[in-house]
Amino acid sequence: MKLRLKLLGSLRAFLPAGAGFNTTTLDLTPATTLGMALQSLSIPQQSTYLVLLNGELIPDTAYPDTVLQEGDELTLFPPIKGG
Amino acid sequence: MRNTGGDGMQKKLPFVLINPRNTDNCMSWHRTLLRINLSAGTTSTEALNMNWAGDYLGQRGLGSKYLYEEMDPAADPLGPENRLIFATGPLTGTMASTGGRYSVITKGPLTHAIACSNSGGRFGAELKNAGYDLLIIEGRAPKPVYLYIENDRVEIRDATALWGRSVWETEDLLLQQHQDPQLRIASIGQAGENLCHYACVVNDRHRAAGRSGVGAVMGSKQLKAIAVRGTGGTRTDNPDAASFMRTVQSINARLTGKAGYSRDGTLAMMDVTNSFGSLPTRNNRGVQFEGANRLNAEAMQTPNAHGHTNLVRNAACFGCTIGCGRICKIDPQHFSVRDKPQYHGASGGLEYESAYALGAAVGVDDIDAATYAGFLCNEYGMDPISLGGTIAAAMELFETGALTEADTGGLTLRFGSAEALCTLAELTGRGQGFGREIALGSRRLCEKYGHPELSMSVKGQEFAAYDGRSMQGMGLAYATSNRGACHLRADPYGHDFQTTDTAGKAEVVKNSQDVVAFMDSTGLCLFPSGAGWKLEDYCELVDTACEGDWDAARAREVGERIWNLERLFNLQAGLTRADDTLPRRILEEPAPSGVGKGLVARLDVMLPEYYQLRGWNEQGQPEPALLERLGLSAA
Repeated sequence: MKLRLKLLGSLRAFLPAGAGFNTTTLDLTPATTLGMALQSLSIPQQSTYLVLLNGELIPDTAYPDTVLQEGDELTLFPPIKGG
Repeated sequence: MRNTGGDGMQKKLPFVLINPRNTDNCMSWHRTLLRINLSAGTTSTEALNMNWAGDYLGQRGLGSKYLYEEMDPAADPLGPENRLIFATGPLTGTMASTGGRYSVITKGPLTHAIACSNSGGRFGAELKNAGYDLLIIEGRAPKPVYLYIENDRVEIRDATALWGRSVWETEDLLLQQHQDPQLRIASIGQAGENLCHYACVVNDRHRAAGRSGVGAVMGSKQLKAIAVRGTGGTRTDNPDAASFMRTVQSINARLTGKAGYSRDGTLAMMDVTNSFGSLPTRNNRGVQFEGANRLNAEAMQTPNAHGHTNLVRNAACFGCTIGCGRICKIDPQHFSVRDKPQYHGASGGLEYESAYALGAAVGVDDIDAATYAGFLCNEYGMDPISLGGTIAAAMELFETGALTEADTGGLTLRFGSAEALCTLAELTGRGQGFGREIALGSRRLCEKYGHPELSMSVKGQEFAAYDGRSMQGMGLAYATSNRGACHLRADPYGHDFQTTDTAGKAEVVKNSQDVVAFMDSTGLCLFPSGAGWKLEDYCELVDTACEGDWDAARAREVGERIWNLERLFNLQAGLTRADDTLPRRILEEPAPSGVGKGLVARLDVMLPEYYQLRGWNEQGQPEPALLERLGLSAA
């Protein structure tokens, strides 16, 4: 199944080659959880980020039990500040 | 630490040669302030009060202390009684990364509260390296003047030929006149002269002490510019300069998150807030802007249909190893500049805040129009946040029928109109037509037209680029900010992006307000704290450069003292608990979308808790025990 992944702010440095400015497509097997999907990304373990799934904030405690669906939009962003 | 405050010397115009600086104990304060009395035409130097430096450090804190001690907080901000203080920090002018900051501290005409506006560029370091920690300006000149400082040489000079000129023209003329390419200039444009309530002081062409109308105070004093050349350098407390540099290098290595700021600038934030639902849109009617992808970092870096790319390069202020600044060019074929070649060159481009205010806030998704309006803000000397916020309020007044074309001089002010944005920016900068009303700020404009509730402001200062419904902590930070709505007076970002629950917000806001007050007093920028530095890193730099022990506990106490002193200033200026609030829209109209959909700002829950944590009574007044602990009882 295909999902849209957006890596915002400094996280976009971890997009795969050939990705858009801050967006790429993830191709995952059905029944993949959010936790599994995040582990499959090449984002360093020590990085801190927050997750929106279809615009909804997902607490990290829910990562293992959140099953992803075809067409989902996953947005990851660091706790950026300033302006 | 010893008190060296008090003694001073005075001379009449045209200039004085003085050098009372203390060099027997090297540290990164020069222990010297420069005082200018524009009414009397005198300049003098004084030893810095080192007891106060120990309690308030420098820049924001020390400037606020001098302001509080020297003027009646109830005074007219545009009268000669108001002080205008340019303050550096102990690390300004050193090689500590981002050590180029200075602040302008005064009573703000936009808010009638204490104003403290911070800028980078190179002016602050030049002032420090000319030998001055603070520059205090009093009175009002009988005719337009500018200040020329070349180390010990200080002159008040005639600026009649500069009056009526823009910031850019003023810089060009002064550089030409003095034939010194390294002269650093801070000046006001026509907006400051015309007393636009949110006029800036602009230095180095496009860095600005932008908020609260500090440029209007400069204009009210008929002070057009300050031109500085400083060659003395800044010593540190450590006699081994190499040791200080080793500390600097070691701490620089902790800026592990700087690459994103360098590459995308602060504009990287727009995709975050738009995804989260905290990007104020159309005067906060919305919290997500459908045109954000035409204003964001990607839009800035992607060629348009003509092959034109907005971003030229990034830029860094003095000593900065991050370089978040944007240098941009407007598409020469864009309607705003098609017949204006003077705007075809590269200059300071959009940051996140200006892209919000001149974009999403007014519903405009035209990056060239927003860039043009931003150029005009730098050229005429206006705060883009307040300009955009006021235009947004005017657009809503117009769309609801409270404003008509008869009021606007024939202008149609609808959300999304890039033409209206550009025209109003021009008129406001020049002080012409309906621009004179936009120059009042949104609160006075909306009161005049019978809808004060449409001003998205706190204490008269327009919101920054975060909505206080999905970001509850930011709502509280806006409501309690001593200088009016501001995104840089607290650091609730991380907590707000984790949860909309109000639990813990008051503590996060209170504690971070104190930390930020300390950081703003060092001479360093706040952005390293978003790129890897912790409070302890700022402390280590201060401790290495300054006399005394500077650890995190002392830093928090200094920050708390500064915050409470600012509060006392505001209370004595006549502000009350009633000013610690948010517009009705944020308190009563639920956010229409995003993570905070359905929420209103729960100030009713957070504010009492905040007062309690602060040690303030129910009226928001500091309790005697707190004042005693902080050494503010006499205040």
